[in-house]
Amino acid sequence: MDHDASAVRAIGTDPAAFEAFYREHLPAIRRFVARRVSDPHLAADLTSDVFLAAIDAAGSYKPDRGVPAAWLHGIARRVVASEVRRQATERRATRRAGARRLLDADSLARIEERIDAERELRSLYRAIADLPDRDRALLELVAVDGLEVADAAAALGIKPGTARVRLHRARRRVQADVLLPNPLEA
Amino acid sequence: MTTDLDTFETALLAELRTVVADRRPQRRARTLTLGGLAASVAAAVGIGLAVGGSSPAFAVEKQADGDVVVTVHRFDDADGLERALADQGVTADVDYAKPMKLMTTDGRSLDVIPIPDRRKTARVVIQRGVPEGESLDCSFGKGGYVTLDSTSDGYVLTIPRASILAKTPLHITTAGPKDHGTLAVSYYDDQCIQVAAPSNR
Repeated sequence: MDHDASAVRAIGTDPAAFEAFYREHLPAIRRFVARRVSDPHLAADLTSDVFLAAIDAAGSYKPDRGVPAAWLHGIARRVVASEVRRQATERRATRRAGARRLLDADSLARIEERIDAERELRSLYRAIADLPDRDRALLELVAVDGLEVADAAAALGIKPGTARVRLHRARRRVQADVLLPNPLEA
Repeated sequence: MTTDLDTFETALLAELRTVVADRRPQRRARTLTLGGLAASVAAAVGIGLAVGGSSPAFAVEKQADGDVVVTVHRFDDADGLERALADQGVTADVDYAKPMKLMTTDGRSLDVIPIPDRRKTARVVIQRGVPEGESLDCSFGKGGYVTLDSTSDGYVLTIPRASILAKTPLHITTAGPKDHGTLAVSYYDDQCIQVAAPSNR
């Protein structure tokens, strides 16, 4: 655990430590983003935003906020959620400074393939959008991203017991919604 | 763990490594301050002297957080300011000789920069070439905005670190009639423009 903690803290200041972290967690962040957005350019921006936010937050990482993967999922969730809020108010997000400018045709195609592959989980993500914030956060990490309940609880700073209660409640509430076809994904 | 990176992911990694490397001096500065040394938050890294003049035409300072702050005292030595900015990684075209033409949305030229009542300085953000009903994001994500202010010491232009990392070219020029002494900075292909009128107007 201590080794993990110092490795995570180092990513804010040590490029080599950051590279190791990036290579280890990139596959998870690719999936995470593809399960939430269907625009490949936005996916590229968000991938960059998640790692930038991790670099900023690394100095204050503590093991009780979950293993590094769970901690990063917590960060990714906040980054994507704030992007969704932002989009609601700005119809045209012209993000020329975003990471999308680094995209070439091949990389774009690979992101599109991932987005296509995550179609079902993306509709689950949309289906749980109407849950109260705290329930949604938990269900997202467990049902959409496949985190262990204990890790998801740590990432959100709640007790595992509390998490199980909330999960049960949230699952019951979305059951009906998930079975309905999502018109946006058709 | 080895993950196969595609072209995008490789380019992104290179860029993020630079971000991390750039954060290192920041930490060192903080350590010095904690050690009881009176470390200044900003070191003056470029000062422009007008030809034949005695006071600097501009000053360029890099802040501890990576932002670059430019103070323009006089519209002199545009080339010197360009070079001082290039030293800080900022690509800027500085040209005081050709004032930027400002137009209203219905195509009339804007000669006077409106200054709100009770304020001595004007800071106007203009978005040009944007279809009606749409708005352009002139920020650099969470990295904030380029800001331009008019003070008694001159114009103060703050260029956020995020903009420098993104290598966003800036265009620094005067605006409107030359004798008004109005400064303008624009970016994103001149679509985002900030204008400041002198504080003593």
